[in-house]
Amino acid sequence: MELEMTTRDVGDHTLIKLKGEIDIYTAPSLREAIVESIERGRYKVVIDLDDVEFLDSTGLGVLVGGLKKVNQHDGEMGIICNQEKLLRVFKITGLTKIFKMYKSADEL
Amino acid sequence: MEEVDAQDIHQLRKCTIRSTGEKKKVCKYSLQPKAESLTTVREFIRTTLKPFDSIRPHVHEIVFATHEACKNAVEHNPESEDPVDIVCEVFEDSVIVQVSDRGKGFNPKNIPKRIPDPTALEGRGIFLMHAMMDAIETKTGNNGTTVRMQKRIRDS
Repeated sequence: MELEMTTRDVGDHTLIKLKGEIDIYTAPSLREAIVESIERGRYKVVIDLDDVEFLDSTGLGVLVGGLKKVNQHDGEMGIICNQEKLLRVFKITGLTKIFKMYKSADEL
Repeated sequence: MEEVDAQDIHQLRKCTIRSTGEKKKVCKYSLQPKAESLTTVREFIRTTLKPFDSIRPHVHEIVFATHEACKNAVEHNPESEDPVDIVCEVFEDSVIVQVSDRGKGFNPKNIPKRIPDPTALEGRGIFLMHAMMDAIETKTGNNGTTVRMQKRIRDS
């Protein structure tokens, strides 16, 4: 299993588009991508999950960790997610309230 | 060995696994206890459940709960080289998945009673498992931990 990541800047946001499965094995590479964005001085990070098949609790923890890091710079952590099975995981854990939820990259 | 019944820690739902209609399929899988292997147990569950149209709306929930149970087994027994055993049973009106490790067990008192604050970095897995499944029974002791989880299939 692989997790493909594509990072691009959209205005003052940095969009990280993911494809594949995010779990305890692949989540560290997502953490690195978020950190790299912050190191470039890009504190508004949006993660696109529309091509993600699976997201586990470790992946959720990495996203929350990213949120804490960008908040230290008055940044933003956004999520693009239109798949009900993944959205449910965010809703159950109350995470839709702490991330900025987007429908698509067009909103950035 | 002193066996601790951890059932009482799971207070989100009533946790009785009830016997259920005709058994249609049983598949077993032996998982290598490594983080990179967890993708294979997800594929095992997807493949086992694939022939059953009525289960399709619930496949992600069953895959998710099984993954989290296996992840706990792998994550909390880092030195273990023993495989994690998974049994997936498909009944007429439910699916039961059992995940057994031969690790050192855990103290049920260490499981938080409430869903973690949204800003917590961990501790969500067990609550999500309960949200996804209808019943979960856990037995843990110093010979290992066994988690049995049931998903009822309502629209069959």
